[in-house]
Amino acid sequence: MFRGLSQKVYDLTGINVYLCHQCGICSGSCPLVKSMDIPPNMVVRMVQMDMNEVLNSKTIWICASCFNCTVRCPRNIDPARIINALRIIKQREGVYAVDLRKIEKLEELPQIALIAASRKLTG
Amino acid sequence: MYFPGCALKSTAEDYEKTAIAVAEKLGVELLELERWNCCGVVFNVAADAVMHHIAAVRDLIRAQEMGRKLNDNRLVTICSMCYSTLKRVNQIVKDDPEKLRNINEFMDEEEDYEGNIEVIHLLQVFKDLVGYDKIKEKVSRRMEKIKAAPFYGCALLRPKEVSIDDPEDPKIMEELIEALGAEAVKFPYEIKCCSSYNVIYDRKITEETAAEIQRAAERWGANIIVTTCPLCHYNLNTSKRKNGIPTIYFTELMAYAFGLEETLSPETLKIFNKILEEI
Repeated sequence: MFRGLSQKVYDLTGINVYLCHQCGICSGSCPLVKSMDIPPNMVVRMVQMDMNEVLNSKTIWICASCFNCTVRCPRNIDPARIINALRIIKQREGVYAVDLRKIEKLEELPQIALIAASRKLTG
Repeated sequence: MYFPGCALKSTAEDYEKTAIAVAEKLGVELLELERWNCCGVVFNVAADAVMHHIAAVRDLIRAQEMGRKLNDNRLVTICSMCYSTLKRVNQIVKDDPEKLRNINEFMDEEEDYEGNIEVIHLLQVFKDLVGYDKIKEKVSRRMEKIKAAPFYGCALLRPKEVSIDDPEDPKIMEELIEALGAEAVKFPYEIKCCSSYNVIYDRKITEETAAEIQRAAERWGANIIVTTCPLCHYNLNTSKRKNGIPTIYFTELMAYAFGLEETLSPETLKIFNKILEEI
């Protein structure tokens, strides 16, 4: 049943993306959707369709793992975790969203944000 | 025992100071966990992520060691993100004995973690162990002019397996605010995300999100936002709006209500004085 991306997501999370029936509640609940280029429900659809271009979207890095969609998903498939799995696929290829050495005014930023970002946005 | 974490020792020193002071006033002694290290801030969701749980498990081992001496297995967190990370890692190693065995074998210089520590948040201590009636008794100041909007953010409520309250309709902070004699302003953005580490990725996203949350709280009639999370605190205060309402920690509101002004920073005191002057 699984192929390509949906297989990778399954291996990383145990989630069967084909359970998603595109109700869209994840995108409707997402507090950051307006900053994303692809809304969460479409990300899940693209994984179902094995569309690798989803890995180049900004969305996979913008999701803050707030788990609003997770709580509300009627199919219990945890979109935040799927998005995070896509990010992990990129991270394991060595692709990071930020270069920590290039952050401006580093000393003014709180540690808590820097550590979270280093773990979520870099390898 | 309590786990401070990085923020309480740097950007959120006032949070730690007021938390210890108000707990003491309520008869709860918060003892700092010995030899703690960073919890990792965020939980890694990959099924094969074992390495990412090591830091948190080491903290749980420290709690196990100290807990044995104190005869107490409760580890209190003050920061929301530490709560979420320690709680989730604790849960995952309890539910997955193989993972726990791997971690224990990897950290062969430490004693094995046995999975007996209970991770709780300070809000739960105040609600369940102290009780809001006792909190009411300690209030020494008139608070009714303070209209405080509780902002929960994500880490305390989601995912629901680790939630300290109803993830869609939490009341724990609202009830605390009312026990203090202030007006609790429940607003629809209370469970929203502050955008978290996006402040590093793209600061504009955070500034916009912060302004949106602030605007909503004002529209619902609040004159202050109360939070439990040092990152929400930082992010909400990045809002660039002129005269936007400030965000403070819930323990600062408690310290003010209990008359413990000496534990508040001059900036926080100024916030309270300004609210009282305006009305």
